[in-house]
Amino acid sequence: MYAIEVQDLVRDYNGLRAVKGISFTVNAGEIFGFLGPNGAGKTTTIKMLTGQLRPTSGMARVAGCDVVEERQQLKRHIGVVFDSQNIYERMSARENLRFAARLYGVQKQRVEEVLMQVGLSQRAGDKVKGFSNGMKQRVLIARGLLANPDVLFLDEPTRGLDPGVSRDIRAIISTLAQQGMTVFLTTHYMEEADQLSDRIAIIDQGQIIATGTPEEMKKAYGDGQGATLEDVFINLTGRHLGRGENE
Amino acid sequence: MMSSIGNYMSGIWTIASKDIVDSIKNKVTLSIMVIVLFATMIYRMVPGLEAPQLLVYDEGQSIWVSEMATDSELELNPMPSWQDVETFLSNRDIVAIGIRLPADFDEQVDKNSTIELEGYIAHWVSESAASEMQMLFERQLSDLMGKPVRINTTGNLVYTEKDSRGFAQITASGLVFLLMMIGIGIVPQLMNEERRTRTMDALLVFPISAGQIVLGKALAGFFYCLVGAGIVLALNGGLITHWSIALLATLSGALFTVSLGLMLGSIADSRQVMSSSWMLLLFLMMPVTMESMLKDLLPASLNRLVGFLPTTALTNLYRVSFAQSVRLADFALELAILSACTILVLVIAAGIVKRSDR
Repeated sequence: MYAIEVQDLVRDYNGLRAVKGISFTVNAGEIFGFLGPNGAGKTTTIKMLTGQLRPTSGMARVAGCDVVEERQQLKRHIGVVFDSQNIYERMSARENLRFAARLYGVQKQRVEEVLMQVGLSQRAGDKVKGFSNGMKQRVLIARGLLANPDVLFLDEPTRGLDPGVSRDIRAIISTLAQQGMTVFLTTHYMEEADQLSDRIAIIDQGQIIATGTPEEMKKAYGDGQGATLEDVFINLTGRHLGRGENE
Repeated sequence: MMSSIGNYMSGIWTIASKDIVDSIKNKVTLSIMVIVLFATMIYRMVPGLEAPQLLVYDEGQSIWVSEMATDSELELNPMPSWQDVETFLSNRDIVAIGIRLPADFDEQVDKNSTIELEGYIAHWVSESAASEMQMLFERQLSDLMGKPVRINTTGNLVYTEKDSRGFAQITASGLVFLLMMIGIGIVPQLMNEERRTRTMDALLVFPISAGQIVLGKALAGFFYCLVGAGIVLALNGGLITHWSIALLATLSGALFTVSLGLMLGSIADSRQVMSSSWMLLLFLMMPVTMESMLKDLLPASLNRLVGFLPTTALTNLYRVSFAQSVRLADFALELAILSACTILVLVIAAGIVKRSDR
C-alpha cells in the first residue's frame, strides 16, 4: 500500500486551474521531494493532501484515508510543518505542544518525548517569542511529530535558517525516515532535496513534469556527468530558483 | 455517540481554554476588557458627585419649607406632589431622601419635643450612603428647627420601573455596552489573530473542525462577557431585585453579542472588523445610551422601531430585573426580540463559517 496515492488531482481558484490533474505515489517510509518554482502548485497540493483544501476533482489517499471523505481520520495520521512559523508566541514551547497534544488526544508524556527528539528539552519552558528561527522550527517539527504520524508533510523546513541549524533539521528528517516515517518534503534547496530524498517529483504550472530518484533525474535531464539537481530543475522548468520566497 | 460528543466538546473547550488564558497575555484583548470595565463602572461615581438632595412634598403650607429654602447648607428640592417625589427617586441617578410633610406639620413641630419624619429612598442606594445621607439631613434639620429631628427610612424604598431612566437606565445601558464591546471586540480579535499569525492553518490540520474552532472562540468571548457582566452586577447588587432575570439578560445578551462577534470575525479582516465594529456599536448603542433625548426628538413611529433593536430589548430586560413587581408579560417581547436576533445572527455566522471551511 502506498503512503500517498494521488490520481488526476485538480484544484481551481476563481476560474484558474492551479493544479492540473497531477498523479503520483509515495511509498511508505520514503522521503519524497516535491519541487517546483514559485506558483507551481506545491502549497496547493500540500493543502489538498492535508485536508485543508477540497480538490476540485480527482482522488487522493494519504495514510489510507481519502482526503475528502475521511478528512477527520486523515488528520490523526499526518503531521504538518508549515512554511510559516505559525506557533503561539506568547506561550512556551511546552505550552504550545501541550495545547496541540490535547487536540490530538495524546498523553502529556509524548510532549516531553518530542521535545527531546528535536533537542528542545532545556528551553521547553521559555516563551517562543524569544526563540531564534531555528528553535521555532524545532517547535514546529515537534508539533508535527506529536501524534506519531504515518506521513509528515514538511513545507520548506529549512528556509531562512543558518547552515548549522539546517543541518540539524536535515538530520532530524533523516532519522524520522530511518524510523519508517513517510516524509513529503518541499524545498527550494536542491542540494537538500538531493541529499534527503529517495524520490523526487518536479511540478511546474500545476503539472508534474518529471518523477524519479535524484540519480535517475540527473541522468535523464542533467547536462552529462557531474550534473546537479539544480541543473535538472533549470533544464526542466526553464527557471532559476526563487530562493527564500513563498509560493 | 456519547464519546464523539465528548470529543467534540473537548475540542471546543481546548480552544476556548487556550484563548481564555491567552487573552490575559494579549495586550489588545486585555486593553479592551480593562477599558470596558472601567467605562462601565465609572458611572458608579456619578451619584457621589452631586450632593444628596432632600425632596420635600408639603401637603399643607408649612412655614418650615421656606425656612429650609433659605438654609444655604441644605440641598432642598421642593416637589409639587408625592408622585413627583417617587418619580424623582426612581428616575434619577442622584442620591436623595423624599419626605412628606403632613398638613399639620407646623402644629406637630410646636407640640412635640422630637420631630419624627418618614423618609423614602431609591432602592439602589447602598446602606452606607443611605445612612450617611439620613444623618446629614437629620443634623441639618435639627439645627434649623432647634429640635431633634429623626428620619425613619426603614423599609421605605422606592423601586425603579421597567421604563425608569436615571441610575437604572445608566446601569442597564452600561451592561449592554460592556457585553457589546466584549462580544464584538474580543471574539473577532481572537479569530483575526489566528489568521494574521497563520496559526489558523495549524488549527485546521488538527483533528478538529472549523466549527469547533469558531465555537471555542465564541466560548472564550462568552466567558469574558460573563466575567465582565458578573463584576458589574455584583457591584450593583442593591439595584437588582430579580437575579434570575438579570442572569437571563446576561446569558442572552452575551449570546447575542458573541454571535455578532463571530459574524464579524468570519467575514472581515482586522481593519474591516475595527470599522464595522464601531459602526455596529454606534448603530446599536446610540438609541440605548441616548434614549431619554431621542425619545423626545424622534417621531413615535421611529421610537417604536428603536424598541425592536436587540440592544434596546436587552436594556429593557435588565431594567425589568431592577423593578419590584414583574410579570412574564413585562419582558416576553424583549426576550423574543433578543432570541430572534441571536438566532438570525448565529445562522448567518454559521453559514459563513461553513462556506469558508475549505
